[in-house]
Amino acid sequence: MDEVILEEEERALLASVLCREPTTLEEAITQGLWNEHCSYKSSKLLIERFQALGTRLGGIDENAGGVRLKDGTVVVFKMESHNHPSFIEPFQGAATGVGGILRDIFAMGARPIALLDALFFGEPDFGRTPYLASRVIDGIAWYGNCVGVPTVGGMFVSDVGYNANCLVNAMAVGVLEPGQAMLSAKARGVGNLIVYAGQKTGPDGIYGSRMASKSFGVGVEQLRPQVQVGDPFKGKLLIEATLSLARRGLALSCQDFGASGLVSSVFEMAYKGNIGVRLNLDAIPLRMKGLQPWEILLSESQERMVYVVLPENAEEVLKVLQGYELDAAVIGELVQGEEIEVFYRGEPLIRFPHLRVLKAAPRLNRPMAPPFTKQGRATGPIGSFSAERLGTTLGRLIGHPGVGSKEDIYRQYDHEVGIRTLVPPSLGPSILRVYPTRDTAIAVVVGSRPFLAVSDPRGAAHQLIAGLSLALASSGATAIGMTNCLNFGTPEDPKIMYALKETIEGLAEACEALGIAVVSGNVSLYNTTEDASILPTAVVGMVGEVQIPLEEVGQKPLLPNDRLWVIEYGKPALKGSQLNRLMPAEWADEGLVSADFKRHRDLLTLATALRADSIRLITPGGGGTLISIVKRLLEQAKHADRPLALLDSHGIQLDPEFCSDPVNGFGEGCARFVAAVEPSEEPRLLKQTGLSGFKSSYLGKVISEPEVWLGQNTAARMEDLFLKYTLSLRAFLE
Amino acid sequence: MKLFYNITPKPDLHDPQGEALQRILDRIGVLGVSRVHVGKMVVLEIEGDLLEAERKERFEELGKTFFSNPLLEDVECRVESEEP
Amino acid sequence: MKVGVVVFPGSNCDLDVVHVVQDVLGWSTRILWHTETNLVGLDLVVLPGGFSYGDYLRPGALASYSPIMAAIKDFASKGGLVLGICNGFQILLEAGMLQGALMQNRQIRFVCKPTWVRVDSTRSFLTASAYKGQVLSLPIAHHSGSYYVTKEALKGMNDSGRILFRYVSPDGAQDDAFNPNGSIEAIAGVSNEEGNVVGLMPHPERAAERLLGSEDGLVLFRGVLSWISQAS
Repeated sequence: MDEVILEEEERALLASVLCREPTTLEEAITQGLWNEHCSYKSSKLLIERFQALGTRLGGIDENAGGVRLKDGTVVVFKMESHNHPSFIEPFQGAATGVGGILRDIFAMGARPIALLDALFFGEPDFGRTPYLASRVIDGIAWYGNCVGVPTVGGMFVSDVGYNANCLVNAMAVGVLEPGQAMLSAKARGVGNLIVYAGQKTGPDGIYGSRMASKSFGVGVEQLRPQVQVGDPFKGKLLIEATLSLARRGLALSCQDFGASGLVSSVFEMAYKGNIGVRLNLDAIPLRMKGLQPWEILLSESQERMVYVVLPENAEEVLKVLQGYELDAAVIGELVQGEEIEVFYRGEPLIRFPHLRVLKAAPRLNRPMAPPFTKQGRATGPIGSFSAERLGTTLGRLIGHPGVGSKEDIYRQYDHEVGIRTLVPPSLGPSILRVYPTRDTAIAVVVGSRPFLAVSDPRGAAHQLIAGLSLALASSGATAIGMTNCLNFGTPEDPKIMYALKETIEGLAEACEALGIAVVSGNVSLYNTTEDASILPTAVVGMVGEVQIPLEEVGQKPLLPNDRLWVIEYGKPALKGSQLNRLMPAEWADEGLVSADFKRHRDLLTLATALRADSIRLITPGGGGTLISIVKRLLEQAKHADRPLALLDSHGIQLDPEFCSDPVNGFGEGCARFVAAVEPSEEPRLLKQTGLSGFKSSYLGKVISEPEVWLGQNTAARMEDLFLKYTLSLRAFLE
Repeated sequence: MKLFYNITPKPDLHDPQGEALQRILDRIGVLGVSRVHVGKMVVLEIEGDLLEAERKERFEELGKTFFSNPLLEDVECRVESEEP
Repeated sequence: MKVGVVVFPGSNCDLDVVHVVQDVLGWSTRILWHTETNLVGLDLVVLPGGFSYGDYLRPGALASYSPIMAAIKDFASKGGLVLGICNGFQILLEAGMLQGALMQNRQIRFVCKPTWVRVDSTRSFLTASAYKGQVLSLPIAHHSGSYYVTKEALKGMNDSGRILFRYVSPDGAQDDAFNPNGSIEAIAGVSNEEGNVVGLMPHPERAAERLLGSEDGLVLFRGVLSWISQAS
């Protein structure tokens, strides 16, 4: 208990709110409310920028937000980090991250239908990296598979910048049927009761949220808090029980227990509802005897929810919950007044002025300082490729864990349960039908551009939003909303605060310009160990509404003689690309000109029209345009489900002129896509592109030989690329 | 000889497996069980003995740092000599 | 046709089965919570996939003690049709209604992917509409799907046509490269002596619509109709 102490400045602030010196218990509760993880004190002033935006449903103070589809369905989604717990205990850390983000979704009454994960690890030969990566993946698989929500997508980055701090960001997507009300997190109605359900409370992760509010300055060994242990089985029962209460209108509002446990759930609910509470600690189901009241209040035991219910419904609610074999109890009542009155062993323990304390929560205007580190030499593009050099570069990139096949990961996730998955994880967005019996479908994708954000956080944010929206358009979907997880280092570092501000500005500008709602978000700071901070890592999860018939959502394969055209309004750049990151001395340029959102909107319109016309599109991703095309050819050969030795891939003949500028092949940007057409369709494509005012360049054609040709010269054999591609993650997973 | 490593979840930690098992025991009418812990056992068959302190320590260490996760589990190591 | 779909705590493919039975096949369904014991009027009871009781102790072990299991045994003994898919297969084995056991996959990891299975016996309600040697594309998603049974028992099962499905290559050949979990003799599904209790690891309900990539699962569900019409 002595350890839980506010910093001097905040202690003084609390004293001024209370008009006296706080007791230790008051300090502990306040710490639970004001810590970085729960209060967003370093970022609150910045993320207000998102609030002004868009068409999100559900207030900024709810568990998550949503967007409405044309048929009235509301899609609710959110992404959250579990970086620090995963670094300490990767299996349980990642598993409880999945459990936590799911609770945010079904707490709104929405049925979770999909999970995605963005994972960032160090280099495979660095210390704990392979252990962390494989255990994190095991943990995600365990929780997601068991709870019965398909993991349908994600991303994986491996870079020296994450050697000392891994990132585990989990995203969940849920749906509310047309006309179904969203459950609020605001406690309302004097006299209504508070019902607890789920795991029993134990002394778990008491310092958990403090952990995410501090950097690691010491070895993990010394940071051993009580680890939180997830229980996906109970998580599944909680989903069904909560949705059953929501369906029957028995829960008036609902909140899960996250960081700081009961303090953040009940106290925050009451604050949002501007109401008082009588809370009875004796009623809370406990796992063991002898827990101290502050432990009960701050416990971070997983799989727990609270519901606000009408007194006359309480009995029925308990019956429903117990029917799902969950522990459940009435633990309090909403009362008039501005305090939370806590009872312990039948006696009043504390009267806590939660309204005043939460209102006074610190909002820091931390110092900022541009610029962030300049990275990479600014040189002009390097002269033309020899076939040999092209082949080596392709091989180097496609075998990199961040670029290569993710199959070794997603095969461990049940990505089909729920029978909604129409386009499974592979390349680009995954597509799910929302209901098994109707035509409504969504496309989901996650992305991040940390290598560019190092030198240009705002530009990286623009690129990221524009690029993901184009990937959705190429899949036949229109981007409608996004969530984000902003992973940064120590906010006391002015350069890091500056990057955070620039990132937020950039995301907001891009979403505003492209009409994409920002529905939710999460900020994870202190991703710093012994002065080593991660790259500024904004992860965005984007949801699109599918506009084409469900029979056509899977892209048709590329076939020999197909001609490939690049359609663009601006060239990509090597700066911030995977190639530049791998070999900065060899491959660098001055970077991109700033994004042009007006042209981008037109490009989205064109991509949408072409996709609706059944033209096959590829939106280049990490590694650049050539890598994306080679990956598409390899994936479709693999989809024939032949074992390695029988690889029967098509190849590609690249146009020497297109490849004369390496930026064309390996630069990364958001302003282009590739269209594949049969020769007979070519004139129509070029006409349509020309009318839209975009530049098209001939890239090459698909050939039946399993090779990459540069003009007439062989640059690489598909079989070699295939081996590198499929084995790219082995160093992490075996 | 044989080494038995008995690995159990730390008593203070949540043990979902033990809890689920306890519920079934209640259902099928096994009375008087106050808590269930589910762990695992690793058995090593080794050659020679453990008289040498360094070797003994190495095998003990194995249980603490490799077979079990010290954050989550306790481990007990028991030796069983073969019949002569 | 009336189908009961059992929901154990932790089942998660129950709604998928209900969808296929109801919306694709047009049969009626009744959802059965695991504490129910009345199966009157049902033709088929399905134990769906999922993680009943979190797979704690052993997959299927705790669910096999659910009150409904006694009723299902009784139902089966009177000729009622029982189908266990994935975790449901594990439960039927733990309950002693089928022979053998399922171990962890040989690669220790969960695996979710399409597989091909060959129908090796049509002496069950699930294979009654299929032909011997027919190759079906069905997906798997499991952690403990490596089927094991003693050599002696295996011989008996082979002789009496109780080995229903084996994992094979797309052209129907038995080849270890296509055995996704290390099952003995690449076995993917079995039945009891009478052919009215069937368990399999692949998910026919995930392969019952063209939109999802395969309709081969329908061949199996339709076997129920042939079986019942033959019996009557």
